[in-house]
Amino acid sequence: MRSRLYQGGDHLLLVQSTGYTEDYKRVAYQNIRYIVVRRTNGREQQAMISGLFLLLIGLLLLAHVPWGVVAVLEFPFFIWFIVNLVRGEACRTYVNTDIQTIELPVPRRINRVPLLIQFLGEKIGAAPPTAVETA
Amino acid sequence: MAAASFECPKCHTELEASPEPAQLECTCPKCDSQLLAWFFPPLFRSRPVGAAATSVIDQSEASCFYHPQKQAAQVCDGCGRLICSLCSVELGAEHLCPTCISAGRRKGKITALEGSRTCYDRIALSLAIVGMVFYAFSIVLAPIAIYVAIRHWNSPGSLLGVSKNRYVIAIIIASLELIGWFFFASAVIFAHK
Repeated sequence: MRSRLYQGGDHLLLVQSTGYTEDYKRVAYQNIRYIVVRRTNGREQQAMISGLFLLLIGLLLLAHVPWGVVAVLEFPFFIWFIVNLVRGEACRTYVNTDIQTIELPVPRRINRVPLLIQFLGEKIGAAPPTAVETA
Repeated sequence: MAAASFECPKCHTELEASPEPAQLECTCPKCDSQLLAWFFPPLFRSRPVGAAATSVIDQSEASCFYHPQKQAAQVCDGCGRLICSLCSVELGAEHLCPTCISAGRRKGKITALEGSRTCYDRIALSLAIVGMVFYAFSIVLAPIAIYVAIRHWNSPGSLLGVSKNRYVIAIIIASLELIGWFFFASAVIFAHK
């Protein structure tokens, strides 16, 4: 299941795709009551996994594998490790309306949340008085 | 402003919300989740109540098609019937009656109410590609791929925008597979002769 978020004229469109079917959820800007972000330990988990791979591949040096080969193998995990650290704390974002709370597929990092809040603040201020919302 | 609350998304504990400050950082007392919350004005507003339908007093007044004892307040933009404020459903700029809403939803004519769609173009293309990879099955899959592509050529695809490219590619691949079977069958027949 792949989830994507799109901005509409008067609503957010959440698309959950299985590849052959798509489910849609619309959240009218006008109806958004609050956004809740829950900190998760996703960054720590990813750091541990990528760090473990770096360590295991690094152990190949003890088996006299040329350092160039080890460096090439470690490169993608090193990039993953660094990018994960730079992206900041992980989170899950939820949007609430009168009738439902929906988990949004983005943002997954706390330092991206202010962009969403700023965007929604502008949209909620500019949203028309009536809108449609479907579960 | 009315007192309001928000919910911890993990354990669903109700937590107090206040209009000032509009941003709150807290820890859920039940599950210890660290939460950041942003509140928007609709949280502190009372929920809107639908307009009540007014009873017909004079027989000369237009009445609702579905509730003859209620005054007509709108004309349905879908079917043109007179409807009371109870029956009138505001959908964007339109006012529709419940029958038009349900019919539009069933037939997929009201995009704003659509909850899901099937991507037939992807199904047709997948059938054609699977037939190409596992060629023995293509004698069955290729006709199905062509059928799906032609049958659903005009069916609504993804809301995110679609083109007919996948259908065209599926038909081309499936046709080539069938042509391959035709040559194979011809070769077998001529070999026996």
